[in-house]
Amino acid sequence: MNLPRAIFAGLVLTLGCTGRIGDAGNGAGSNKTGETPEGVSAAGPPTRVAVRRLSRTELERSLHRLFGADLPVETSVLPADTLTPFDNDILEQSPSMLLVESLETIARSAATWITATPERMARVVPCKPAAPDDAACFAQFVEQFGQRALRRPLEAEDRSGLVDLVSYGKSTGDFGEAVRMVVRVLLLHPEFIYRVEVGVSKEGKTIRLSPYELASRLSFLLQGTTPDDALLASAKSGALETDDGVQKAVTALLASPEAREQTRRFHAFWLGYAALESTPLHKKLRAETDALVDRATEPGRDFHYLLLADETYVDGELAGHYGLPPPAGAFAWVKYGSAPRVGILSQGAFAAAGAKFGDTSPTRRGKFIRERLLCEPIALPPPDVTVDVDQPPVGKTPGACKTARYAEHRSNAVCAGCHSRVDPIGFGLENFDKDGKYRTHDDDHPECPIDGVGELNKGQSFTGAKGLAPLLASSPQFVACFSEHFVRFAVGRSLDNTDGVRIEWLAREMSSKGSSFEALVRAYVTHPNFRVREEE
Amino acid sequence: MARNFTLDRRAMLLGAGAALSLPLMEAMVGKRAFGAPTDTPKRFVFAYCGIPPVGEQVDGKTGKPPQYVLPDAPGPLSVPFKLGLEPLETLGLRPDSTVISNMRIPRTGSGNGRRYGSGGFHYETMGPLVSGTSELTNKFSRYAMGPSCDWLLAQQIGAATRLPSLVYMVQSAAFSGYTLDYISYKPRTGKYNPEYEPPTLRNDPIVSPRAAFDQLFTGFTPPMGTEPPPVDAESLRRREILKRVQASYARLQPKLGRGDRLRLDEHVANIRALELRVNALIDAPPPVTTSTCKVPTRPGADPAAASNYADEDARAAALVDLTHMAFACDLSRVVSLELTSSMSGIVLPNSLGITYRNWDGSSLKAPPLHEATHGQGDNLSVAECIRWHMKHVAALAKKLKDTPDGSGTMLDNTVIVFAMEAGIGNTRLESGSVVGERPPHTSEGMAAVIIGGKNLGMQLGQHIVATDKHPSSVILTAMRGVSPAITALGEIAAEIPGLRAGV
Repeated sequence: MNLPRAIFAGLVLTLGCTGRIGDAGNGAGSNKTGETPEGVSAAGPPTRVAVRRLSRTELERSLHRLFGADLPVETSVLPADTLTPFDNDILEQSPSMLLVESLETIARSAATWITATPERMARVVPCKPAAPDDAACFAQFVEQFGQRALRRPLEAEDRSGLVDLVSYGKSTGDFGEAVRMVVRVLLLHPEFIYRVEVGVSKEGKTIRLSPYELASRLSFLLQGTTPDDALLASAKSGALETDDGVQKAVTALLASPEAREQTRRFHAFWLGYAALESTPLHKKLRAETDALVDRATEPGRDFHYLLLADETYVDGELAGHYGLPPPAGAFAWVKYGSAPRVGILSQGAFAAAGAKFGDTSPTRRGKFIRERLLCEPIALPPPDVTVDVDQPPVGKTPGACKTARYAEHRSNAVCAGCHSRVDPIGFGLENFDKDGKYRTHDDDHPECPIDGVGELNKGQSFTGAKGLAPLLASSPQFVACFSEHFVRFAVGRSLDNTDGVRIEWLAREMSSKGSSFEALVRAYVTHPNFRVREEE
Repeated sequence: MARNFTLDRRAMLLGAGAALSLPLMEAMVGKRAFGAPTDTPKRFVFAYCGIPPVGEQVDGKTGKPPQYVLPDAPGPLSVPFKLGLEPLETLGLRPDSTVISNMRIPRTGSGNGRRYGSGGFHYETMGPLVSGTSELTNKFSRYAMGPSCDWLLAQQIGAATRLPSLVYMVQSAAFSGYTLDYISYKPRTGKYNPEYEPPTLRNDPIVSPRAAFDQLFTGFTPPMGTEPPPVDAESLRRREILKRVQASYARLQPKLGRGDRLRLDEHVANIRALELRVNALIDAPPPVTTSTCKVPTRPGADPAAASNYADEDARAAALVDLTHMAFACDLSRVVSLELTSSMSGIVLPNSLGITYRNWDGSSLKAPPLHEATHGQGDNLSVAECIRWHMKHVAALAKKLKDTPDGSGTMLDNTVIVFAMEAGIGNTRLESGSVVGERPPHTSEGMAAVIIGGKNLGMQLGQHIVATDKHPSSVILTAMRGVSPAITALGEIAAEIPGLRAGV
């Protein structure tokens, strides 16, 4: 859902953000001290967050964190995640029998695998069992693994519902059998597969999260996986109840390889190349764009680099693909120089995301830029119009050039309203074929030259990526739209009107701190609103 | 001696809240389900193919698309099938088949309409077809707005088997650049906001043969003779685990707010349903139904996708084998088999016997299935794609035909509906020009094939031209052959005349 800009403009914003823990929206937790929840209204009300299921990727990564990265996880048996554009939309996460059955299969496989050798079992059992029914050692295992799996310390009833499974060790003469039972119970536990936030206190509909729940939020958003032992220890020690402690935790999380991978994943969803084909070329294109995202999101760097980068990360093959000088050796950064390329708009991964019909689709590319980079929704065609969205306009003249066919399409008054907003943007990037290769004419039609001239808005004509990128980068809508997508990814649902103020605030935070990605992330996760949620 | 099925009291109490939201069929699995069958089971398969029988090619001289799938003449099927239905011919299944053609899903207006065009064609036909329910709002374009045929039928006959229905999908992924549509839906239970949520939930299909095997055969031992098989230790472990998971949730549930509780209740209801199924394995093993019930070898890991293909040919064959054995062991009687999705991005390779050609006969690189119906790809290539789909459906029919069942064969007691996403259009010549709705994006001229069901009253070996009838009527006719208690499929209450005895 796109948020009308009027929402932002129409709201009175209170400036300032002290970030005091407990200064949650709607006064949650603040009444004890009687302090005014300063800064909260600037970021909007507490976020509406519902219980969420782990996506396929989150589940796989969580299992790897629990058991080791060498654990085979057959995620293909799980229900598919629908990309909207992110993989965590709760509306798409229907409970299903297939989910339960596939989790049962995955849990059984993981339990068997982790107990297959003493070395593996030692990853989850912190002691050496003296006997198949060594209750003391089993209790240690339950305590440690239970906390890791449920992302919180076990309560007495949790414990009592698990420790008696040691009887399976006795009856089979195999301590591993008891371990397997506990692993299977916990991996099917609703609090493992769902992110449940019960909170520690509630005021009205606002729930204040426990430190462990905050740890989970941080970990899943920034690393896409369950919290590690260090983060759980921070929750236990109370460190996550101080601003300083949260900042330190965020610093550690952001510095991790998992966070880098998560950042790449977020961008791939946002910019539509997450489902790129797995051909050798596309793998390289993905690596190239990942490298760009890494640089654009470096601490302190202006995120507009994503649009304005004057260099790219290629090997000899990709350099040849783009017509760039090849780097020495394997992948390396190469300056664009005078090549008609800049930033992500000229990269193959981005170009491929806007491809259709085995060719480029100026309509799709234009719509994509309007919706994903500027958050301007393009309406669906009117209900009474027969459309064929699968086909490029054919036109009345067989063999006519693409520009002529699309122009004819736009001449239809009913279509013109929307197509005149998107097609000219796409035509401005037409020099890039569906894989980002530069071309001067329509594929197989040298008689149809491509001039690469486009128009973003009335009076904002441009030529090619080098013309469009600065226009987008100078628009405040770009940062606002990026913020909007980030919030959507963070909350795992379509946005509603209560999110408008938050997005506007987040965009301001980012812009005021050098347009740094890290600044945006820090602002979001260290704000008091991140420690509360609005119950549905 | 059969054990008595008793529901553990603790589990009953724990599951009570969840059971309220259980669909009827899932709550009904129990002892009664495993009594000796009083008569031969009746079975239903809905197979779906995500392309129409023709591509864009329309003959300017005749005004009609050249087509290589449907019979030309109505009446008895007295000549061999064309290329698209060749597998039925090869396997000797023509006498067991009936083709129904020239149907339509009305484009506009009230009642039974396909969606208007805003969401794109591919979201317009699938939902109305599988559910008989129109949706004209465009709010939830990717859903069927009513429960699908398989789910409805499972409500009627699903309690008789361990699994009320099986939902399989051969196409393993959305594949780059394309979406994935699902064809099996159940009604949404509990309160929901129709502004934001559709009235149905999809029944997630199993795409992995290994997962399908596990669902059917984990803890299952074909019973021999009159004694039940020994209780499987794994089943006992599963029951214990599932009980403990429910007990954990019973402690969590009171702490949840309404929205979260509704969501997790539904999840735990599925855990409860699975426990009931495991209980049934332990407490009431099924009787011997056919001597052909054998647990197959567990399939290996799923092949990975490469170039938009993940060996769906082998996947389809495996799911067909499992469907056959699910019937032979009477583990389920209703199957939804989505071979390919609407607007499918799968690339069926040439090795499957498909030669992609342009209208002028020149060769074409293997395109995504959806693209094979567009552009200059000729209709013969499309028919070869249909033939690949039919190969697997016919293989299932043949296996069923070769399996004795009651006084006939399993195919006699099973009706298979093969439906295609779209039609051949209603083009014609007027003053030398082709007019009318052209394929492949059309719900005019839709067709379906019925295979089997002789003992269910299906009138086989004919080509019925059911002009202007709704294709959901074919599905309804087949459903009523299996369960006469079914009165309608969504808004569709009329059967296809002549397709079932007495209709």
